[in-house]
Amino acid sequence: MTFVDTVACLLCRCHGEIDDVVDFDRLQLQLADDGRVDSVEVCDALCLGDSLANLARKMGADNGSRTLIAGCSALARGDELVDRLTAHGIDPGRVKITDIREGCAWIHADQPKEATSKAADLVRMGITALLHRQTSPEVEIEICPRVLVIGSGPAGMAAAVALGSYGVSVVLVESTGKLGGMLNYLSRVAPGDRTTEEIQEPLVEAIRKVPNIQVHLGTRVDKIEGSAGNFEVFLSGKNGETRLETGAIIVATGAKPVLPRGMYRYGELAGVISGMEMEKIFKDGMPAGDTVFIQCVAVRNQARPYCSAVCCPASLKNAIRLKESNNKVDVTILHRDVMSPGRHLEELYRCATAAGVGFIRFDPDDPPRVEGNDKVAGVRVADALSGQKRLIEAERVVLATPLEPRENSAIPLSADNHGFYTVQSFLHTVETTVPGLFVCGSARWPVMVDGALTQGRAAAAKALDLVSRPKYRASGLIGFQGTRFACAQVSQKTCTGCGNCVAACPFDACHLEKTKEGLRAVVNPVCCMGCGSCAAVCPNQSAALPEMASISMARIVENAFAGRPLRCRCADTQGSAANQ
Amino acid sequence: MKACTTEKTLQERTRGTAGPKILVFSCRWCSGIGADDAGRKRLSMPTGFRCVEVECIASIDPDIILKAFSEGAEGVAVFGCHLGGCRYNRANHAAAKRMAMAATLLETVGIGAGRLLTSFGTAHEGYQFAELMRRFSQRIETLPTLTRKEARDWRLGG
Amino acid sequence: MTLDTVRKIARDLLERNTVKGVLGLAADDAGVMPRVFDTPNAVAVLVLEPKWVLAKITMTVMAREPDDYRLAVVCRGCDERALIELGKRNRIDPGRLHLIGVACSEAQAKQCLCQRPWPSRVDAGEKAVGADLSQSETIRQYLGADRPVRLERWREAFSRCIKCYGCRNACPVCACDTCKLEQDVWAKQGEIAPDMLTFHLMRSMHVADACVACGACQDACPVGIPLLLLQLPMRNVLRRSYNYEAGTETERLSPLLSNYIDEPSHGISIPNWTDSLEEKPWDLIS
Repeated sequence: MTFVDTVACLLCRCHGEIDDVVDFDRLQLQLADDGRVDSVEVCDALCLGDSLANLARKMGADNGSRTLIAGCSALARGDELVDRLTAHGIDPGRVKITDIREGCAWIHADQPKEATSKAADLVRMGITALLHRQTSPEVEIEICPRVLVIGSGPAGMAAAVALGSYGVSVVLVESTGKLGGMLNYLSRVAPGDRTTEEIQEPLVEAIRKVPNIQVHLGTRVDKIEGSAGNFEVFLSGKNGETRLETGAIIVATGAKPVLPRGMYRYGELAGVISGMEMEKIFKDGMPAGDTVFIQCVAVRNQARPYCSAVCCPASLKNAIRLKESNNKVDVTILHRDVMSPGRHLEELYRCATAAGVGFIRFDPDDPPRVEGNDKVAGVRVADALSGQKRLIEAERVVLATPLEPRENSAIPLSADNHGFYTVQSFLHTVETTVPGLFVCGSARWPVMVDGALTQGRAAAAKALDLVSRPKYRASGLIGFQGTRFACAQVSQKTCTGCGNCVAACPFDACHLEKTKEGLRAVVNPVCCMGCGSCAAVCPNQSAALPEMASISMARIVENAFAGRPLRCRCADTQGSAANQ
Repeated sequence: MKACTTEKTLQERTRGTAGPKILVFSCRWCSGIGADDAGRKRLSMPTGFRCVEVECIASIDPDIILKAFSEGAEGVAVFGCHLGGCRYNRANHAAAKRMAMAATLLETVGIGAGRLLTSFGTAHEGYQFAELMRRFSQRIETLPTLTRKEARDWRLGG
Repeated sequence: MTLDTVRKIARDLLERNTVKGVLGLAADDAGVMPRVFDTPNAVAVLVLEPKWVLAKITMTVMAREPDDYRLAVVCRGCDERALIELGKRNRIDPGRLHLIGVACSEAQAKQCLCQRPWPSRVDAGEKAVGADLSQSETIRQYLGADRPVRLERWREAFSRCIKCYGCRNACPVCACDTCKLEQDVWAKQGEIAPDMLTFHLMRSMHVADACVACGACQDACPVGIPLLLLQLPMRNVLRRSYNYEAGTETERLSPLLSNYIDEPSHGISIPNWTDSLEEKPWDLIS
């Protein structure tokens, strides 16, 4: 589409909010002098009445025209206006919103003269941006209508069942010989004292019955290649090596419990066991004997400076069961803090105190000492609240250890400082920096079974959104609030193959390819998030965000303080990346 | 959050002043929304600054910073999301490093690193944005002017 | 002595066919020019003076030769560093090069203000001590004085620029085929002297993390602008904050390309939203 190299300006008064401060007469005069401006119109409020429909009609009648709308900010009504114009069939690339309300009239209400000059500058900057704007070609990806779920713990199973129930083809891969993950090792599930069977069995049954869920036991993922909609996964297991194509991947590989080696005389003294071993004892029967639980073992320290969230509820659950089976048994929990957030876990804590479980707080600088000769006799603890040193007699000491991340080099995800996979942000709880790759359950952060089930379903919902259509627009993968700067592109003519952009890309969306002319950088539009890191490190503007290339920014800057119209330099755009 | 006294005093002191020419680059996420928030709260600020919104401050080439000074800006501000809060996988860290390098070069030739402000904020920090703009404007005003005396030849180089 | 050693090494390499050519300086009636010596006898006219950074010529030679061509290069410390940086940017294949490392004399180091006047492996010459920057008057003038004085000095220096592009052409790590400095938006056609910010400072910024302090830019400048001094403070920041010196590591890429601020020994304190107005004291040289 070739556009004329002038724009129409539409100034919105916002019913006086803007033109009470900005002198629209002066502004119109200044714009009339600008060779790049075709026409200047003023409207009372573009968002109300027929104004927008009229604009749409006018723009629809002249497909080569572009309009600069100066009014409120994009966040206020601007983005909405563009959406409405799009709904009228107007290409959003033809419209630009320039903020002269939040960014000018409202913050300079006491300086109308300066505000008018500033508004003129801002409008000229907007005109420049609009004239120099190139759009990224829209990329549509064909989606492989399948989801791979890695891991069959509660998160993985919930995801698989949710997807399967929608008729999606699911491949569930499990490295061990049976489904269930952590559910196979827990005795009961808190809160509510549910058995693992009542959670696990319906899921396993559903997986067995639903024909579109394929299970591969004893299988590992070796490599993942490709991008959203078209991942290529290499598996190996008892069936040999297989290659799988899939549209989305859900990582539910969980986390592994830490063994308290060398702590609190574990391995040295009979009766000192880990939290997981306690679960096993419960599975085999009801344990007897006075028990002391020690929390925060091998965690919340220098090596693992995080809270593993699930160990306090687990100890509370087990402590309650011990007391309920035999009230005469002494059960004490030695803790730094008792992490039991939320309605149900708060209640669990109250239940424990009501059942007669003792709670003693200790200082991490003065941890408890396990005493005994060949088996546990008791635990000596310095009570941080009373200051007293006490000896608690016990036959068993349970060390509550954390979950730590599993390392899996096949999963192309970045991890945080502790090793758990990072999610996009607090608002995108199961999405990762790789589009189409979702993470849920304890692989993401230690979580209890309920949380794992919920996250698994959330990941299933996100994956469903991707694979439920045959085609998907790459820009739709990028984020909420609409994309304005879309995808980067590298000019194959001027690229020298230096690799700066490849190194700088936060999403590994850029790679070097060997061509006849030499190495050239190529951006994968599916993985590209449009941040522009590549553009900033490219020495000669080969890599650029077409919507706002380096030259555009330079021209915008020229207009910022000019105080007067500058000659149009549309010749600049001929060399831009998008044209190569 | 209530406006603090310092803000009011600064508001009064900078009221009615055009303010030095400052080019502000802000990302369209946290810091851009913060600037918008300042607008919605109608916080009064000096008029000398112009904002350019970019996707992420990682896309800001130091060349553009130099271009800004060349075009008459007396200060350049680069506002991004908090370190750790960038939705582009910590790209704002890379931006901070590049800006530090640009500041070093500006200091080398005597333009002064203080004219390049790099700062990080979040979406609800409208007051902070306003305060920062006022204080930065004030600081630029205390520095000797960069432009030459003749009104016509105000370019920095050549 | 050093010259004899280098000639001997070059002859041996050619005789044994380890390399197909040796890139060095040749002295004949026309003067001293870089040349690719391709026979052992030709090496008789190889010389080591004057200082001539051969990295960029290496790039040109390698580009025109087939893939199996191996080249030996008579390399000073800065040459080798430049070659490593070019290698990291995929401009040359270091596997096809054989470096003949020559250490520079103390006098040469002083002239170049070089802190590392030796290659990683010294085949000829003796390692000399690096220059003491505190003794340099130019550094005192251009990097030591007060800001306004500095600005005037730099402005004056740049006002002499005749836009010959010598600095860019001579720089061994400056290797783009399409150069921003030739675009009107940064360097207006016909404007002499070009804009200090968008020409000189932009060029300086572009090589900030690749500069190996060879001084070729300064040597090439016909009007004597102390261009090397522009890069020294930035090199210092890279060294202090990230323990990075361009050209000393073959695998590690520039810290400016990665997203993590916690590079080894990071010294930059990142300001919070409102704290960034505090003025830090600047020490450009140390």
